[in-house]
Amino acid sequence: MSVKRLSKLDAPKNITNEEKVLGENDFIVSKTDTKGFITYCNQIFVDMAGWTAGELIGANHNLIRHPDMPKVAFKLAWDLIKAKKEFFGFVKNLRKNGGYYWVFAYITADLDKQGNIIGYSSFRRKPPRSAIEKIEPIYKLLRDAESRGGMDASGKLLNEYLADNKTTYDELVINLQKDIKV
Amino acid sequence: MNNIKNPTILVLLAVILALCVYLGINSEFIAAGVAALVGVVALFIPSNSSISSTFEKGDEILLKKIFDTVKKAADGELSNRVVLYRNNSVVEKIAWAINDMLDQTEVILRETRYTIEAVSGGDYHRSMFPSGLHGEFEQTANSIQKAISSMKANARYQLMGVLATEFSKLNGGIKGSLDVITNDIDKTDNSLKEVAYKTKVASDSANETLIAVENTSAEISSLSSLVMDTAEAIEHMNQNVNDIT
Repeated sequence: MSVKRLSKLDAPKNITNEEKVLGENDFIVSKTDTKGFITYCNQIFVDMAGWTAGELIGANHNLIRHPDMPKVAFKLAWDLIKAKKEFFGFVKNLRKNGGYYWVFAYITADLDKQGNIIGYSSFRRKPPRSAIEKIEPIYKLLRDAESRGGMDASGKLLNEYLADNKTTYDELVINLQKDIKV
Repeated sequence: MNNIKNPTILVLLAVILALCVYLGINSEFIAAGVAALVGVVALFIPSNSSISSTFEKGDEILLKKIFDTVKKAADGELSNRVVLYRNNSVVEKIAWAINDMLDQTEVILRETRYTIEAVSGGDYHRSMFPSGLHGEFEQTANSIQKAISSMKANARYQLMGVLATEFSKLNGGIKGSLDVITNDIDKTDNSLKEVAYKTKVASDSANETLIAVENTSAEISSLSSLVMDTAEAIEHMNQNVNDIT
């Protein structure tokens, strides 16, 4: 008997403005195989996403992708983690009920003893409100660029923004997240 | 009465029941009554193993998964987890607690490794993120972050030291630099003295020029008077010539 694997096609279509805020001392953990299918999720992920563990395990991680996220953010993430590098990023995730929650995601590759990638781990923490306020309009610009010229346009725009601000992507997001304790 | 869920007790009860039936059929009513009494008492005997009474069907499979995961973690493979769909039984709660412990252990080790690699490469913006971690996990992350801040400060001082050393090498070091400055000041002093002398000379020349100009002006004035006198004389002579004619 084959079990249906949920994906973004099964994501809710009734997007709402209802936010669920991650707890100060909580963090979401999920693991995927090399194709992005969920192999493990912790209880906080279940609570935040609104799907049951049974629905999440086996589903494609893009099930929780929010339409407000620019595609270039996920391209950047995949490019980095496939190269065994770490990815940091602010991510707006979609809940089963159409609401959303913001996280500061830290994604890395899981390696076997020979150094081969066997999957990916994502640890997500609560982002400071100041970081969300800063990143939201940037994501809006990137999405607008994508609607005009695809990911080439949003990638170019992102690089121009970083160059104008004399920073790198990692430095930008890490400094935004560090503001939580400042 | 929870013992009724214990398979061993169930088997015992079945045996006692069969024995009662057998003795009853054979008219051994007293023996059958004793056996029945034993069976009833057995229902109220507490189990020796409280854990076994708590375990549910399927727990053995879960315990095997827990053992495999913990064993791999002990061997240094921290990425494995006990995959769970519920959080009801004691064994499931144990498995969730192990997963939570592994989540925090794995993330702090991974972040520490990447952070130290970044800092070793001079990339000081990399930071630990203690939020979300609990107890000693959080304290350790904070301690590592403090160490990184100190390393960053040390690197800055080290850079300043290198720059100071390089500066000290320029123009023969500090003494050489002071000699150059003293020499330059001497040169400037001499230049200023020369300027003062030249200014004085120029001033004297200016005074002399002023006197000469004043003399010349007086001479021009005399000449002007002479010219005027001459003009009057010519006018007068003109008059006389007219008288003659």
